[in-house]
Amino acid sequence: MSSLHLSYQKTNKQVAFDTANKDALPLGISSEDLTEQLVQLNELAQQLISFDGEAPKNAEPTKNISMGVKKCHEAGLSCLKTAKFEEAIKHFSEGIKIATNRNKWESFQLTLFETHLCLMNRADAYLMSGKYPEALQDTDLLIKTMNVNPDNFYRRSIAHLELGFLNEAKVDLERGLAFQPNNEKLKRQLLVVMAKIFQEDGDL
Amino acid sequence: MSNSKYNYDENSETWPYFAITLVGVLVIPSTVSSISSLFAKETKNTNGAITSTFKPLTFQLIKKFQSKSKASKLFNARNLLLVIGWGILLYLGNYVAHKEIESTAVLFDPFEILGIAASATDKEIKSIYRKLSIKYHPDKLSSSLSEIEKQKAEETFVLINKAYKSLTDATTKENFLKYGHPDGPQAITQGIALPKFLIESQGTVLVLAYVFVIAILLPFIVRYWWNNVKSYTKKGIRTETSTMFVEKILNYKPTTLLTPITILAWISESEEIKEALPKLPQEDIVEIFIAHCSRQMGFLAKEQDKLNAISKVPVLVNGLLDLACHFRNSEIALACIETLRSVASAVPLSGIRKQQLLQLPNVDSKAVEKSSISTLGKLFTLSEEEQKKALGIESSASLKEALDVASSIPLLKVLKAQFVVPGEDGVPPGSIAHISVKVMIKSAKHHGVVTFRTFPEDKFHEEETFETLRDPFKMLKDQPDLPPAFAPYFPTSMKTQWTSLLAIQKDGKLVEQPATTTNLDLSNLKLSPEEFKASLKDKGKDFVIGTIKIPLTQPAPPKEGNYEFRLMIKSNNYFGTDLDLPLVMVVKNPTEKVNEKIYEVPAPSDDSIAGAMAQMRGEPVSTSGDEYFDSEDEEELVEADGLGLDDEDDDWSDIDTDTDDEEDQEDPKEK
Repeated sequence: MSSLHLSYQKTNKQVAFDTANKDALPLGISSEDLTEQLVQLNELAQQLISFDGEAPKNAEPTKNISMGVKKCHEAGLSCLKTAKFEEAIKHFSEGIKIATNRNKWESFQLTLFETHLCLMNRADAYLMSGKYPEALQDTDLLIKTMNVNPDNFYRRSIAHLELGFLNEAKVDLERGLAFQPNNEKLKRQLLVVMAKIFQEDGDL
Repeated sequence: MSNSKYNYDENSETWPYFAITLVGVLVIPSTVSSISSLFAKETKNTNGAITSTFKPLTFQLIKKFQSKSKASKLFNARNLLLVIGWGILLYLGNYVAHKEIESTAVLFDPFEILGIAASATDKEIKSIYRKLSIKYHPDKLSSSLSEIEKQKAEETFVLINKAYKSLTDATTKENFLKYGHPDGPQAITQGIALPKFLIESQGTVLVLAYVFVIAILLPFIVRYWWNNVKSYTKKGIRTETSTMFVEKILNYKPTTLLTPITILAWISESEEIKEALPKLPQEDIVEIFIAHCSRQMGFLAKEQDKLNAISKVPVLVNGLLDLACHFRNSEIALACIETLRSVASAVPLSGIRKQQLLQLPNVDSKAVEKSSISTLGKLFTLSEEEQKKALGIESSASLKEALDVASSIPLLKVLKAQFVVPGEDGVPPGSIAHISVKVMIKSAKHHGVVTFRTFPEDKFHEEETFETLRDPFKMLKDQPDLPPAFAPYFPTSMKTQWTSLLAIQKDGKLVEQPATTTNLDLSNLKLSPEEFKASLKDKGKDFVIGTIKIPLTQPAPPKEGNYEFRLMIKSNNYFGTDLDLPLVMVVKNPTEKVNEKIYEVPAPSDDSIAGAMAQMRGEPVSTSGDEYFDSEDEEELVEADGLGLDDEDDDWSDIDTDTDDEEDQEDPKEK
């Protein structure tokens, strides 16, 4: 028999896990994992308890937050067009912050694209201002959350290339081409990267 | 009944033979396998192996460790048992050799004593008897004989008399002829090839020994064997370790950073490492691994214990790699291989991008980190002074050692890679394909781009014979074995190997278990830079093309279309020799192939029996003229075949997983 050994504290209305029992956990559940999940659960409960308005009927995202994200995004874009990268990064970061600070019960799936949009353009701003490690981080996150737009692979390959990871840059472009075999931009960049690799190996 | 009806082997005539057979069956094969395992490594191919005069600081310690493990190979319980077995065997052989003479004298055969055939007449018997009795009569013996010889002659005389008497008596002679005994038929006796004391011993010692063997020793041996089978997985890691790895993989979050240090931390939690380095906290064990990779030594534990722990890393990492592939996790699998070669060549784990240079002997890691170059190929374009600066080496001798190793590391360049189905032109739906990769092996000192076009086209043509259709992987064995790897810091000898991983390009998940390449011809490495250049211009005439084949266990997708894969061929030993290439599987129904076949093999003519059968089945039949069949028939045939394949699609659909993955992937995009 395996149980999770959880306890409920009436005073602060939280569920807690006693780490002394961590050896008794079933296979596949680590105590760190469980603790993290409990933190999320407690946070969700806290938010619901302290929520002022009417109890939410479903996981529908709130409209005005989406509006806020959109405004940040638009402001960022206009800065990007006028080459004010620092400001653009600030706007996009603000957008990401608002988008991720929604009420916990709102569907993450439905609002993910807002975050993605801001992340993509922030990556652009990082790339244009030469902040490649930051750009790599953002594009990594995009691809790992399965935003497999060929443009994201292009962005990440630029970051990889600039940081000197030639092979990774090549792999990114090849993966991007798997989604859109005729993407001219990716094809051209792939040739550039290949030439760089040959140069680096002293073959050209 | 104390008098048993069995004749025991009191004279030890037969039981030693049984014992010899029994011991021999056990001892001889195990001796052969022991000896061959002892000499197995020495006879391996060393062609293309990196021979270097370089000795790391830990050289003496490693030598000591190796001789220890070799000694333990020689002096172990198994070999002790073998020696005892041979002792018993020799003793028994000796025993049998000396026993033989006594035992044969017991039989009494009058015909043999007189030296005549059983068919001899009474007259013949009489004349022979007379001759012999004169020869052996005690009164007629010459006085020159010794006492012993005289006694022997007397014995023979008595025997001759006895034999003569038994043969002159009619009934006795008949009994002899019929039953081989003067008294007529004998009761049939059952013999048992064991001495009496073993069976009817009054003493309880033997009974106790029996009980011990059957009731205690046998169950114990079986239990011991079964426990060994149970507690190790097929990959040679403990089941507890394997469970721990599975847990780690299941709990792995794709957003966390995964480095070789993470892998080493997981490894250090295993029972195997804990046993090698007892009483050390996990952080210290990871520290030891990191220090080994940084080519440092001298703290936390005894050097021999550390080497022992390090020697266990490859088995554990390979076990983890296997599980990672099972769970299709490419990040963990790639990190595993990275760890494997970092430990093998003692390359600092922090030296991202510079591993190609850091794997060389004598290099100074700080100088390498600072230098602007990062590849072996670039290193050979520099002048000697620049090379010294880039590697942080001062003496020319040390630089030569480093460059010798650098130029002997086999680099792979892909020439051609494709999915192949034996006996087909393309990849039909649901077929079992394999990947065939043609590679060019070159040294870092060889400059120049070798591609598919360098060679005349027929160089890549693979003849399809019955043999290759039956076993397409047989040709890999025609390539020489890969030599031992250059790993002076690693405590045991290592094989040069490449591990192939296949991932789906779209979701980055692995689709197959890792495949290892152990055979490749490295003779291109011997070419001098000038010879290489000349050959490059002359259609690659001196180049040897290597072949790597990777079997696929899953059938091709049931639907026609293009399926993108990413093939990674990674070296377990060296940095900078990897291949990472996109591969597209074009799945297509072989409709044209069907037409071709019809044209190649003429349809049976309608007056033959086959023709009549074909007509009944509604198949095209050639009329007596030379035209085969009209185009309408052809189209019908193709359609029918197409339908047949469609039916097959339904059967295959639940086996294939690729299409599901794609659908999963497109979901977030649509949203």
